[in-house]
Amino acid sequence: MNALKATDLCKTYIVNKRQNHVLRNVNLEIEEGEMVGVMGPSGSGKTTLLYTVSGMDTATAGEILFFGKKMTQLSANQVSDMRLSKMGFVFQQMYMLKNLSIYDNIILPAYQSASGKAQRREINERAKVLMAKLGISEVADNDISEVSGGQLQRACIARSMINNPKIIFADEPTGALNKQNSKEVMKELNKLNEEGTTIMMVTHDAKVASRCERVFYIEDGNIREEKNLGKYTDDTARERERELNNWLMGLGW
Amino acid sequence: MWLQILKKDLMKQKTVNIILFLFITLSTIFLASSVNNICLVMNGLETYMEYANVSDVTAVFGGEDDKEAFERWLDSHGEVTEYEGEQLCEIAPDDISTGDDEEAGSFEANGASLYLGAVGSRYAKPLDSDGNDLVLESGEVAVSPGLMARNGLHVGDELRFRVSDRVYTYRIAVQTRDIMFGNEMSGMGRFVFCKEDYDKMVSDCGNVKILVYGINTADSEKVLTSVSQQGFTLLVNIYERSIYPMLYVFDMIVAGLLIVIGLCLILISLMVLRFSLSFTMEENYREIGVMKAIGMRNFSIRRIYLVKYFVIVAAGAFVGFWLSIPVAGGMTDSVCNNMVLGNSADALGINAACSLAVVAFVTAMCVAFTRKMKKVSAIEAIRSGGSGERYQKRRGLCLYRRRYMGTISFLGFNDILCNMKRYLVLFLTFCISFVLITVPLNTLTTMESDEMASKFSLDPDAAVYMDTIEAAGEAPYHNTVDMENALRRIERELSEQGYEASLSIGALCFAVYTVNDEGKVIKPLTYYPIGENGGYCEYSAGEAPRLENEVAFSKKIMDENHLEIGDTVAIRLNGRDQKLIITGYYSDYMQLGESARLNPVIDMGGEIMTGYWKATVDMETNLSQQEMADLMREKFPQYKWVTAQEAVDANIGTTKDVMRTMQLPMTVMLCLLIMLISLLMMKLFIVREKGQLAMLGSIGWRRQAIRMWLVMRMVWVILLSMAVAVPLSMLCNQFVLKNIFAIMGAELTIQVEPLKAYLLYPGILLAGIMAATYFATGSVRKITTSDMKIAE
Repeated sequence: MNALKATDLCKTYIVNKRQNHVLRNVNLEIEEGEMVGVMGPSGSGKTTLLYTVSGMDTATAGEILFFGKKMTQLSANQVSDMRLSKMGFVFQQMYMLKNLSIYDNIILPAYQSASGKAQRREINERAKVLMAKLGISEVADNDISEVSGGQLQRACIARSMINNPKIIFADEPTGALNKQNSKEVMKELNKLNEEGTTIMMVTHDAKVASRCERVFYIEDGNIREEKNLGKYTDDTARERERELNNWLMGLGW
Repeated sequence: MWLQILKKDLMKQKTVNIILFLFITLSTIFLASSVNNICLVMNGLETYMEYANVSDVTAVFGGEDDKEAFERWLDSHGEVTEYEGEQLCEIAPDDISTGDDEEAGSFEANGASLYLGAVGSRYAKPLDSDGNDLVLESGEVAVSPGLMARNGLHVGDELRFRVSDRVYTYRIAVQTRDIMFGNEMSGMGRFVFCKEDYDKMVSDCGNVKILVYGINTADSEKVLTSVSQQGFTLLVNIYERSIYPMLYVFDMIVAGLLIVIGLCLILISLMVLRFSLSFTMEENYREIGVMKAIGMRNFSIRRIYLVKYFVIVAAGAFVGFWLSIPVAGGMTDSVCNNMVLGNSADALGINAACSLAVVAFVTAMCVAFTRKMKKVSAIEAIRSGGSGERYQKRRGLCLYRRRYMGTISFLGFNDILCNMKRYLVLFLTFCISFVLITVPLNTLTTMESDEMASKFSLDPDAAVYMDTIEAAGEAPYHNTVDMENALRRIERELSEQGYEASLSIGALCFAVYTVNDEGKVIKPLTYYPIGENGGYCEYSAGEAPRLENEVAFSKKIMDENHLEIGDTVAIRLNGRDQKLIITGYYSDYMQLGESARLNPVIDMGGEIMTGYWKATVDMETNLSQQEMADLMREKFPQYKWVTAQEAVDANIGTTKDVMRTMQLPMTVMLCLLIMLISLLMMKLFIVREKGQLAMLGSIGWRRQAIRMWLVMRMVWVILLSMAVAVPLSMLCNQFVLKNIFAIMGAELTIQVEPLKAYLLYPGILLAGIMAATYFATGSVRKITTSDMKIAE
């Protein structure tokens, strides 16, 4: 089943009375359980594509189906509810509420949609499991200013996972991290994907993108080509990276 | 280049700059108008007395028989430097009718003695509203604001006066500012005519003519004492210049309240100004860092911000200056109604000085702030003041530990705990506003209480009161025999209609007492009870005087003269001294707490009484005083029937009306002010927290939920402020209001209607703040994911 399907997706910004077509008739399909990457030069429309298909931004034209449901026909509140309960988001900058601890930031989306003590207890259990899995249990009560970038990004991944989303949208999740932290974060995302979570990720980094099953190359608001790399395994990491780099070079990357 | 940066900065940070501009404008308006108001009111009475040329001593004679003897005595007294007497002619309210009403007796004097007078007085001059001497043409009359308001009169209306069976019609030309007769507290009212008209009316009329002497002297005390010892039988009253402010004590309640309001507004405006300035400057921290990083010199960076803020503050102060002029005028109008409060050129100067003070204050703060920027490194500035290594521990709570708190409520509360300094200004503003709103409310509740009535010697349990007891066409009574006969006559008239009532009254005079062995003489208002309940009074100690040689004094007189119960004083009655024993003391508002109460059996038949206090009507009835007064007005329209509350209202003049009129605009003004402050503050917070708000939106929070979060912060601030404001308001009652009421001569328990004071009115403010906050959060709708880049 398609987790996400975009048909003839257009996005136009009007700046100073001039139209700027950022997405031009984009068509893409992402299967449930797939992990796809979106690459392309700066200003090609990668982030806009991610924000538009996730409902964070509205499309100027075209259709988006999220697990068969037409997102373009939903109200703003319905889209918000869908993002809260069925989608997870990881951003390049680790945006969190600075007045809350790491733990509270993680459980915040779930508490917002929860009602009753029993549900809250369940959320707390789930948060603890997630934090243990991502290796950040020891910083649970820390302020967001007291942890490293890698820990913070893992906390963001934990927050994106707290509502058991069907899909995670990641916008340059390793963009602000060093090599070691990038590796850790990508390992966690691969693990989540193996457990069945669909992931759509925007990245500039070929090494990061090589961990995806498929990679879209976007240029001037259009998907120019896509590369199928197959399921990721640690053994094939180097080969995949080389294969992706060659493909990208062929596209003028 | 820096001009380019400045221009871009002004445009780019439009919202923040506009908010700062508005705050500066607002602060200037309130600072200028409040300081103006305080200066005018503080000096108001002194200015008024100077304008009116109030003499050191004023003597009032109830007739002209003592004129020659008194003037001879004045000429011979070494301490008297100059004097002048003025004749006034008494007129009954029944002899005055308003223009539309041909029927006599349509004039409402509210129990005051009315007099006709002429322009040209030397002392205690009646003035026009600008403080100039009255100039009247033939056919014109000048009337005080209190009498005009009570009778719904306006300049241009006609008044008819019946003197010696002839009716004279005059057009009201001026509303006077009459320091002696213009205030209802004085119990007198004056109509002023040109000399020719006055002479024409009163020259051969049979009405009582009183004489008012203005006396300037080097030693008022000496003159007062020696006059009292002379035995001028028609001398009704003699008092010093210092008594005049007491006549305006109720007006000073309003003025005092305006001062309190002014001080609060100044406090609020300075707090808000300081906060918004530091908040917007912090906003620029990162940019300062970037400029430092690219090598701009400290001076160049400082110049950009100094010029920018100077431009904003100068523009804001300029607009504020012009707007403060009508605001200041509106604030003082309520007091100006009864007084002359100085000239408007001074007011303009004060406004200008305050506007310049705001410019100086903001510029000084900018200089101080930009000086700090020299000390921080580029990277510290980019990190908004942090070094990247040292972090301050968060003061917040843990969401997962709050089991019974909704997420939104928690976030709101947690934000306040984490940023206490940021919300402190709002907290204090709300606190002050809540307290401020309870002050006039509690003042009004107290003025309408039974305790207030009893402080005016009015029994709240009486069936009803009578304002006047004279029969139609009768002149005002000035002796106790007439008064006693009138009471019996009215009892008979009531009985004939089936109302078995007992009437009593307190006849008033200014009796002379010698209170110690050194011969110290006092002349307090003396209350002589006639009838069963004529001596109604709540005694603080001892008991009411009953026997012929007994008297009671007010606590103020007892304290001032070091008297105690059981002490003996002497009263001069019918030309001879008589010993009296003090049996008790009390505390009331009669003659501002300085009065005496005689026993009911002493012979006062030969004394001239200045008048009488309201007649108490006691009878068996289930009707309330108001219902009874309405019924009596219908059955016996020839008399004026009042309730105890109406009698109190009449005595405290227009103060209560002014306060009641002020209450709604003040609530609305306060509400609008704090709504505006909340709105602007919330806008500032949103600008600052755009990144966080965008993040919450992107992870699926509904916009409504985000708005509720922001509103919830304000709700918490309001609730906390209310919790603190309630005890603060009680302290204010105890230490401010109680003292204001004590100026009138007696202590009073400040009455509070808890539902109104602590629920309804704060509820109005709460609703206003919430509405403003909700409106301000409307901009959340415009926040998009791209705003996430603007992280705090």
